[in-house]
Amino acid sequence: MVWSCFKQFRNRASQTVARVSAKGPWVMAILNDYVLPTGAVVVLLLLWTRSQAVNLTQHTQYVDALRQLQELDARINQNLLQLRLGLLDYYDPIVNEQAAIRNLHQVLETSPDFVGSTRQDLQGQVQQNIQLWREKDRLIQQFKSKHAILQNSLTYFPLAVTELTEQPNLPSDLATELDNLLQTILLFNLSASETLTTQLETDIDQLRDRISDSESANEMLANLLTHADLILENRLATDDLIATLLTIPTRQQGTDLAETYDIAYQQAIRAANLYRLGLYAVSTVLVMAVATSIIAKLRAVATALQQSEIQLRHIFDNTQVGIFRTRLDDGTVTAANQYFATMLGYDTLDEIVGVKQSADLYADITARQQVLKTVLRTGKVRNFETQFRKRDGSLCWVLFSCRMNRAENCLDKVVADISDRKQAEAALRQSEATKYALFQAIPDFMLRMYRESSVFDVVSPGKNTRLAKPNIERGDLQDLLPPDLVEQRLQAVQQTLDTGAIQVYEQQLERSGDQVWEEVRVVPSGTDDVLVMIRDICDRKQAEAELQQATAAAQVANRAKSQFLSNMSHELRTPLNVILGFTQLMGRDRSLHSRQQGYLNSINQSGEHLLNLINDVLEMSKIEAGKVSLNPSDFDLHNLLAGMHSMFQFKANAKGVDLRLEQATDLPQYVRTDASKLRQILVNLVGNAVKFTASGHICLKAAAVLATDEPTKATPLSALRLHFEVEDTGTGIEPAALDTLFEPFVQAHNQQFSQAGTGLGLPISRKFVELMGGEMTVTSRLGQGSQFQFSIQAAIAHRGALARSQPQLPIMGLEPGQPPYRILIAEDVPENRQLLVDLLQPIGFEIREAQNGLEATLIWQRWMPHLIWMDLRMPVMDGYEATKQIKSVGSTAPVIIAITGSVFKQEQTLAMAAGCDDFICKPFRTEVIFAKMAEFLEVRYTYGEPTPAATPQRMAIAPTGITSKQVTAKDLQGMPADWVQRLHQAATRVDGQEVADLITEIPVEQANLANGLTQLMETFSFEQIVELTR
Amino acid sequence: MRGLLNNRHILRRFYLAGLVLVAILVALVWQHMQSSPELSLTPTTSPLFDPVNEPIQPLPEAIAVAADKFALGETLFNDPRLSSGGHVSCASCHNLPTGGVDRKPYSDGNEGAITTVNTPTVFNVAYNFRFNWDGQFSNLFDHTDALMQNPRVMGSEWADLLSELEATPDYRQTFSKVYEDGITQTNIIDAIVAYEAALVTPNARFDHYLQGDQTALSATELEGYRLFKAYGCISCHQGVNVGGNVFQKFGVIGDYFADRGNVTRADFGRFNVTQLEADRYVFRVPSLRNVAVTPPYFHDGSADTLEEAINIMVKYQLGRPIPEAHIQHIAQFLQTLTGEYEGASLSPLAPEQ
Repeated sequence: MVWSCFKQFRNRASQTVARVSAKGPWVMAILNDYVLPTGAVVVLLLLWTRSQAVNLTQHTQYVDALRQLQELDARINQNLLQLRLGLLDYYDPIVNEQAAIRNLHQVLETSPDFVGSTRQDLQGQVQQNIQLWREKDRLIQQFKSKHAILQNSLTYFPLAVTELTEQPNLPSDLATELDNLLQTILLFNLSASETLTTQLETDIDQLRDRISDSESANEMLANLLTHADLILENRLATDDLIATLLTIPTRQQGTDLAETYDIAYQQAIRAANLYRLGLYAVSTVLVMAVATSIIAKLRAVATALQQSEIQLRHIFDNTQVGIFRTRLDDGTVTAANQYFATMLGYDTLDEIVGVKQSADLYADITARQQVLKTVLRTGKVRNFETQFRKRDGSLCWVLFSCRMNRAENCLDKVVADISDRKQAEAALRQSEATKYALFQAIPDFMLRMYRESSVFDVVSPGKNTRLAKPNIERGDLQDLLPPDLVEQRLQAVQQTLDTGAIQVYEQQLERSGDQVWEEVRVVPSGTDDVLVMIRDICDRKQAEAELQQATAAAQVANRAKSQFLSNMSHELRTPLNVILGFTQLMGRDRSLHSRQQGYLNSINQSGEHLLNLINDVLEMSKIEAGKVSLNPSDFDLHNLLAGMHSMFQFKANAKGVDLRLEQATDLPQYVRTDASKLRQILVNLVGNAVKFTASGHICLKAAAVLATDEPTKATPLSALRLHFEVEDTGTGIEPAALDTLFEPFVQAHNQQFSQAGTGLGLPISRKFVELMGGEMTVTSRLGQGSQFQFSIQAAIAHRGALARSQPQLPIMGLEPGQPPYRILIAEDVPENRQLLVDLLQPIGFEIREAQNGLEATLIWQRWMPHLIWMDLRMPVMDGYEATKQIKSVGSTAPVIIAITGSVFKQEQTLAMAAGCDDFICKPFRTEVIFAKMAEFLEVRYTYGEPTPAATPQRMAIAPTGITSKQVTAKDLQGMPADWVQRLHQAATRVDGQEVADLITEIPVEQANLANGLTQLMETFSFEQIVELTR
Repeated sequence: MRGLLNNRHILRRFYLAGLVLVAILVALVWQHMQSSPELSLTPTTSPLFDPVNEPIQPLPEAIAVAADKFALGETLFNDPRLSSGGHVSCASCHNLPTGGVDRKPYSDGNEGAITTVNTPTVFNVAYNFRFNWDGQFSNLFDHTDALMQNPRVMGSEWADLLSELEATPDYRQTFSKVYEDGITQTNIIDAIVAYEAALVTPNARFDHYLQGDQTALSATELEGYRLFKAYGCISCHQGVNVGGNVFQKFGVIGDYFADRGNVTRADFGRFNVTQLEADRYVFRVPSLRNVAVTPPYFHDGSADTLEEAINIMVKYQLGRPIPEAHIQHIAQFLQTLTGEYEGASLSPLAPEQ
């Protein structure tokens, strides 16, 4: 425990070190993990062993040995004295004590381990002690030997003296001397003084001299004296030995030894204490450091825990799922998060926690019982869908999960509001039902296919049993289709998945022996899957084939018919011209009587009618052959309508029908469209109305709608849409006839129109309307009248341009008094260049030509033209570049007008940016060229007389003349009655030539009348002329 | 497992745990080493006994020795392989049944060699203060060591002997049971010494007497003891071992060696050890315990009987005449010093001899 703490501290410390030095993480890791702990352990071990160095057992043993040494020394000395004094009569104690001392010496010879510097000293002293004891031992042994001899002699000496003195022949003096000797020896033994020794020696010598005196006693005496010598000798020797023994400084030496050892021991103790102190200090430091690190760590953990708690609390409160906890016993809510309260419509948690019980929450109490049952059995409930009651009593669907918390005897619950999902599910079910119904309703065989797989799932078997394989839900195309079709299908699937677009193709294959056509629709339905719908289109294919055949046949027939008619018309007209021409020539013959004249008229009239028919047929065939083109021009619409009104007014009035013209107030006066075709349409429609209306009124209505918000000068034709309506109160048209009304060559079958002409008027009109970007419709009720409506595209024309060109006066030349205008034409195409040259040179302009931009600049530098017509696209140098160079000189630069074949606005912008002053488009109209020059150079022109209108050709294919005036009966009042009469007759006879002749007689003042009549004649409206002249 | 070891933290844990373990181990070993090693060798101190008021002290019952060590010592003691020739064991000379001696003047040593002195008994050696006649050794250990290497006695080289014993499974097993370090020179000697120290012969009749049994000795024997003391024998032959604790010159009165003649170097006695003139002819006073069963007597084995020996002793050591009756009495007293070994009295001499 302590160790691990220490380790943490060390880690922390080393981390700091590592942060500072950052020499290498590997080295630091090794240092941290291994070197530091090892070092710490080694240091602690070292300190510990040092502190434990004083071995008390050794010390005790040693001290004990020292003590025993002294004790034994004393005891040996004591025993020796006891021996000397005869108090001890055996040597075992001394021997044992000496053996003990030898043993002690063995102990003392090995000094304790803790003895340091004084070891040498100590051991020296021990050796010294051993030496002393060896010496002492030697002396003791000597002492013992001599003591034994002494004792023996002392014991025997009195006995020997007694024995000798009892000898019968012993001289008495000798006996006395022997007694004296015995006394001296006994005294000597008690106290070995110097005098006694000398006396004893003397006595012994005296007695030895007398040995020869008595032979018998000689041996005994000698023996006695020997013992006396022994006593004398050994008594002195033992005394000396005792004295020496007691003076051997073993005791003092032992004390010194003990002192030396004590010093060594104290030193060792001091050293050990020092190390112990060090150990305590190091341990204390370590423990404190470890404790500090533990505290720091604990605080860090506590902080982390707190943060984690806060974080969890936030998650708990902010999670978008309701979390709450109920007591297991009574279901009381003990905790909940805010979302739960909000989900159930409560403002604060206090309204729920501790107040509500789970029974209050469930909408269906049986659901709660079910949940409880499951929880008690399995410990948890997952994703249970039920309804909770909100605060306001409404219900909401929730997804409910619950877990038993046995430790706290409660249930932890999680609820998610799934009302939206439930609604979505309902919607989905509805959608699915719809889809199912759809699938049921669709007869197609539907499959689902997947990316790069020929396997399919059947979605709907469809109604067609021929396609569907009954009772399969999944299959492989490889089994059902030939390989090429499989490949085709997979490609289609791939393409659908890649592009996201529906792929449709048809396939032909053999099914149960029949050749079957199928239409395959591949519809993307997911990122990797598509819906394939297969439809049996055999019937359709068959119908198509038949239709195609029929169409082809019809087209061929139709083309043949048109070709034939076209050819035929010309073929017919040539002879007819001859017939009519000659008939008219014959009619001039005054020699014919009136009857013949009548026949001739009939021929002429019939011829004219025939010609008319042929013209219509020709027009129709041209339309059908696609040879009619639109020729837009600016014109006065108001004028045109007024002319139309006046043209038919007379005839209508004659029938008692009111012909009205209702034109919208905002109808623009000047418009641009194909005026002649518009006129032809209107003449046709109004003519028909007049023709089929016996009473009531006819109304021609015109209105305009701006097709775009910003009408400009360059607005294309679609800028304006003109609406026309011709309404009558005539016989009306049978509903059945309405369908074929606009079909050419159908009229013949209809009894209603049998009286009319070719019957091609309406088809032609409709074709023209279509050509002009419109549509013609008709509504009609039999006996009540008809309304023909159509609209065409047009553009607003400018009064100015129209007004200026209105005079239609040809420009003849330049007004005199103007400077000569130098005009440069830069154009690479010779024809175009020539056209301009031919146009401008006759007027009087000086003209130079340039074939490209470079040439243009060169000519400009030398010639300084007033105006340059600049084609933008030219070789060598284009118009832009040339314009830029020329215009770079500044204000002295000439006027440059760009000519281009492009109508694109971008090119215009580029041209203007290059410095062009203006811009015209090819093909240009000559008036525009002149107008631009007038505009920029202020050129003034001289105009010639208006060109006389070309004599109306009687064989004119289409009425192209400009008739702005409608002939009225009033106009005819200025003419002679005779003339009127003749006109009437001619018209009645449908005599075109006569009418034409009569028209030439009309004076110039009444040109309107002439024009009107010419118009009528050209449109073969002889009935009108008849009416007018009636 | 590999993954576990590769984990640096786990490795570090292991390392630290190992480190702590090693540290504790080191500390324990160190402390163990500090405490003084347990002595498996037999201490050579003599046991204490209750002294009686006589110059001779009774022999204590026995010296306690571990049974297995005793058995090992016995085996070694009787093993002739301990001699280089392979024919002589300790027991060859110290034959226990014959009183711990071979009862020859000189013994047959290694490879036909003859010892220079008479072999003393091995019984009660523990109570001798020195060993060998000249007292060359102050303890049994040194004594045994020397005899093992003495070419006349055992003639063994320790290295050869150790390897030979090592080759003997029984020895290996027994040694390792008794000693931690198995077969070593020290352990061999120790086992022998321990065995020898246990060869004590208590319960001599005289011991019973000393311990208060007044009936233990006959009147004659008691008279012998009185004479033993009166004649001064007791001056040297005293103590628990009745001698063996003092040096004495052979021939205090009268020149024994001159009278005997044919003086050898061995006769110089302690002089051979100390080289001191004073120690010429000085010998360790032999113990008189079991003296009756361990003839012949003296270092030269010159006295075949007790009476003979007593006669020489009285003549050369005590320097006084002694009547034959007194010799007999003393001899009878000496008979009472024969003790028991393993509960049986040491075998007496055959009547013929």
